Amino acid sequence: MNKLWRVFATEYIRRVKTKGFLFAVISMPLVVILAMGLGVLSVKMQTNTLPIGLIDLSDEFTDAEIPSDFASFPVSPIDIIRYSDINEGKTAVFDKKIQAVFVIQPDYLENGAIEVFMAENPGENAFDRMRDFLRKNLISDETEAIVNRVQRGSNFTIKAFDGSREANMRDWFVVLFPFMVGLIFIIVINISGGYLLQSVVDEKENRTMEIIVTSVSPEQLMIGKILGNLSVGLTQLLIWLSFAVIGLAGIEIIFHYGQPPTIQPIHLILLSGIILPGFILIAALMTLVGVTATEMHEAQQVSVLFTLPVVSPFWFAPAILQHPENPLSAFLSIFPFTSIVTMPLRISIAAVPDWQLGLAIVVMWISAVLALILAAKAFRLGMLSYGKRIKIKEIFKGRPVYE
Amino acid sequence: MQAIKAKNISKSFGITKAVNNISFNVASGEIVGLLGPNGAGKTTTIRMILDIFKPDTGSISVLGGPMNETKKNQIGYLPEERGLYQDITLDQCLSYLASLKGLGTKDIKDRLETYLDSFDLLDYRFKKVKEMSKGMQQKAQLITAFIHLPKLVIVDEPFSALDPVNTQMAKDLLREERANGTAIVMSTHQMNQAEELCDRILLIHKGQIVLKGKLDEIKSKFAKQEILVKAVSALPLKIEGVDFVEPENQHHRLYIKEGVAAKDILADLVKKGIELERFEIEQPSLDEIFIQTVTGKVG
Repeated sequence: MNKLWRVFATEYIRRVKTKGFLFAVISMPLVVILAMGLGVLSVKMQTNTLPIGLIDLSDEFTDAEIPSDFASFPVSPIDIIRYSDINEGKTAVFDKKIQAVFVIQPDYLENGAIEVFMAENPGENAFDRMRDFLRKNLISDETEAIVNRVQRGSNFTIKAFDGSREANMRDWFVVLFPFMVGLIFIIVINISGGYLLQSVVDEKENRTMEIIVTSVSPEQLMIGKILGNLSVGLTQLLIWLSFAVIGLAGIEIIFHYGQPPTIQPIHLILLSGIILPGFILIAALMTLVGVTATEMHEAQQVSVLFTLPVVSPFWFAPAILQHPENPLSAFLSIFPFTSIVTMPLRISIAAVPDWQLGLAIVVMWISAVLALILAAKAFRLGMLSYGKRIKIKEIFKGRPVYE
Repeated sequence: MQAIKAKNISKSFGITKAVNNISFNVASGEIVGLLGPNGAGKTTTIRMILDIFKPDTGSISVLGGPMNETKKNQIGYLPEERGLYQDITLDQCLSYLASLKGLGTKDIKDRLETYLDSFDLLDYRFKKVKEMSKGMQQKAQLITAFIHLPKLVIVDEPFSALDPVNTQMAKDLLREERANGTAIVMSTHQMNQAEELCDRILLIHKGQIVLKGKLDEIKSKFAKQEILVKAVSALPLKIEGVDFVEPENQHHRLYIKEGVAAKDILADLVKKGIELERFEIEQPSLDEIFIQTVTGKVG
């Protein structure tokens, strides 16, 4: 166990100390900061800090209270200034004391007409402020509960017939979840798989493996490598996710999307039943390829055979989203390589039968364990066979085949 | 104590019998030379000792029994091909390999300091392995094999890429470890080095042991019927038991008859009053024995 830990720790530390890793880790937050900066800039450009003018020709809002502006960063609160005369309001606009003057027309209650006079386009916040003023005052005689509900709007929840799945339309996390899962998986497996492939091929090429296996068993070496390199990918992902959460929180503040994301039990089932064995499956296959190939470029070419099917459900995403119950969707969510992306996609929009979810989990775990066993066989066979490609037949038999 | 006891071990790869029913022992405190031409089965034998390969038949006892995790920590190995991580520092590389042999951080630090110093590698401690010459990497590899004070060490071409000074340093290390009771198996093609260091040799050819024993015994067995003589006065024209005399630069080569002992020739010369500066029975070199055994040709 101690030696397994040594292999794991060395693999992990060696990788996270590389310039490539540090660059990859830093590049993501920079992109997030840049995206946030652009977001703030975009919102700022759409807003104007000057007050707005109000002229009420309908006499419906003569004594109306002007509510406080609860605008938050990056939008600045703006005042509403009453004018009794249109020319006075126009002069204020011309003198740049206000950004626009809103003239509520005499027949406003019938047709909602408001004329806006401006020197240049007013900010989006000016219209928001005026809408808020009108809405609050139009229902000012109603109870506080009604006023609040009108202000906050309605909350729609989509439910499956059997009640097994439900999604709140405001819960954008539910919509994003399957795509995030797929992307995260692909990112981690690309990072970790690349490192793992490199590590196995390098160690075989520089003959270090021959020395290492006189100290640890090939299985310890293999598992240490898989865990070490997988942890590198997860570390990178964790750092990125931390920044992504900060970024999303920033976007939430800027754009006010609604309630924060919630983790549901089904997410945990997917993580432990599909995603985790998925990682093991691909990592084991990467090891198998690394140890059986003769050179790095050859290993990279072969590894595409495993990574491509993982991405493939994205090509069928429109079909899966429109027809989550059809046989293709069901097959893709049970087949080990495509299940990783397809099952979360289907679960987010439809009631996947429990037997299909259960079968997918069983198939995924069996595949992962079989891949590990095959990788261990290949590791023993390939670790000392320099310049010689291992045949598939040899891996299955667990011994060299001479023809 | 026997560090290795191999009994009737065989290993085949397909129809190729790499090792064919060989038996041998290696005791603590001796250096045994594992010799043989390319493809003779030396590497397969080494890998079976190290438990990298399992023998098809026969058994190997290492340090008193079958190989296990504890024994792996008591074995050192220097493979023929260099096996060091190229992209990390020498310190990181050697520390990692030593830690896999069960050494603690403090021991690694202390011993590494001592070994690097004695091998003139201290200045390279924090440099990347790939920046070091082949000879330096070979010295680093030697450190890897010995840093954990193993009871059994297997070295494959230990002097490869080493200059004469470093070769001497490596030889001293092997002798020192032998004196400390370490059993050493040395595989090499450099017969002069084997001759200088090995107590016993095992010559493997086509998977079988074709020659084994103490070096002097083997040499006696292959001794030539020739004597080198340097006399102060002229040698007599006829010497009892000698077929003919061949003058060479500073001496004469005496080809003695079959069944005649060298001591009888010496006695005859002394009896005839010949004053001698040199009287030496010509021994075959290990190189000659090797070629003769492997090819069947007498050099």
